[in-house]
Amino acid sequence: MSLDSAEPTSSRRALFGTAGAAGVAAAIAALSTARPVAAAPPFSPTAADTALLRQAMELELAARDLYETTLAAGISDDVSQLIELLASNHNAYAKGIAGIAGLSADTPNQEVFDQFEADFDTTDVEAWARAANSLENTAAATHTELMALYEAENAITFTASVVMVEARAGVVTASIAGDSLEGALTPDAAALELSGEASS
Amino acid sequence: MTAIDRRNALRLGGLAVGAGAVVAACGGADEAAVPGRVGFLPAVTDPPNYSVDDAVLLRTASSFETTIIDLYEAFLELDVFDEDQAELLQVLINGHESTRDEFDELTTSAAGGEVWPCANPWMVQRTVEPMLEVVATSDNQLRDAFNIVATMENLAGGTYQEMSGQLTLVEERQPMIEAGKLMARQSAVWIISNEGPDGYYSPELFGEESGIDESGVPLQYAINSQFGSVAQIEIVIGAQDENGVRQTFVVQTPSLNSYIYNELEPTC
Repeated sequence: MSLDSAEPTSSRRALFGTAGAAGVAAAIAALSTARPVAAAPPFSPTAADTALLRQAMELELAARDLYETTLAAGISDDVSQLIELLASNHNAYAKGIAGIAGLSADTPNQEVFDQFEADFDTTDVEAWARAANSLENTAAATHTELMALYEAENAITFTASVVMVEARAGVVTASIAGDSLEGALTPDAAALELSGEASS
Repeated sequence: MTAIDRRNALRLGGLAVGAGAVVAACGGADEAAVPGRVGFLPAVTDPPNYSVDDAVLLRTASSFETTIIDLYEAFLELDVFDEDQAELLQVLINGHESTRDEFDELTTSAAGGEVWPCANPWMVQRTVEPMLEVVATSDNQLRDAFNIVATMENLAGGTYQEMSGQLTLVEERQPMIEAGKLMARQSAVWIISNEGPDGYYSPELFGEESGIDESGVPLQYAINSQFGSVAQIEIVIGAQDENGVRQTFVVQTPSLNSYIYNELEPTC
């Protein structure tokens, strides 16, 4: 078992660097300090939750579109069914989040899509797998971070169910990319910075 | 029949019923509402009503980790895995040990509870020991041990996914879902390292039938559902009986019957 680690954190950060960067840290700090500790959580999303859920939903829609870009490029049948599955998963996550937050699932995060599009517009299976691995691990890390900010019970529980499968998808894509499986246990993906504001 | 023949038995039974009716009719209204007791069984007592707080969840999670570690070490002692598999299993054990340490730290520092240093008695008695007994006489110990490890990783992932929504403090919730992710990844790594690309995702996700191995036992998959599952998991292990049926175990995420309540005392 020898696994090379995935891309260095710096390159992944660069991919996401400009996506929704405005005021994330401030938003996180404000939300974290404003919430009373151990108070009974609301079941349905608060206004603050809804803003963050919109960002999460748009990330998922961008992921779906990126996988569909690879399918449109005509990648090998060996991985096309897996890519269909991943696209379907992210579409389901977006719709689920939209349902919780009372949103329409029709606005992908264009910045994320634009930055990843070239990596996904490929027929090179290994190159696609590396991009997909980065995307899945980043999405999982982002949702994990958002779970600390959500107040509503259903936002937390739904997000947890998404994170678990994205973590598994990260291992599958690492395997296809030829990376070390042992390294796939602890990917160094950084969370995407989200502003908590609706994208235009 | 000897001392009491059938007719006498019926007569005595009728007498007993009639006497019961008389007693009930003579009693007060409150007494009549309570059914009488027959036989010598001890009176039913209500189970203790222990509360479930964050410390209970974290102690239970820690006990689950200890249970898994003990089980995997039993498999290593059984020596059913080849060198690479045993090496990977040790990596999984290391992951469980570090996860347990984190749960223990949170139990005291965040939840204000006491560390539970033992395995989970309910899981050991109801699941682990019976499964190990079946593996001991199995026709394919390697297959069964592999499937049990995959199942326990899946169950641990589902447990921590569920608990991440039950814990009240953010500083507990984040490590819990991180633990869940680690278990999900460990499951996927374990399955792929043994099954290769055939283990990437379940055909059921495309409406097809799940695969089985040459002995008819269901295969494991790294991606086995669209959303993380907290449902019970069935696992088929052991040799076939005279009807060609292997034993099926149903394992579940911890609940009221397997929580490590704050009132419980360690027995290990």
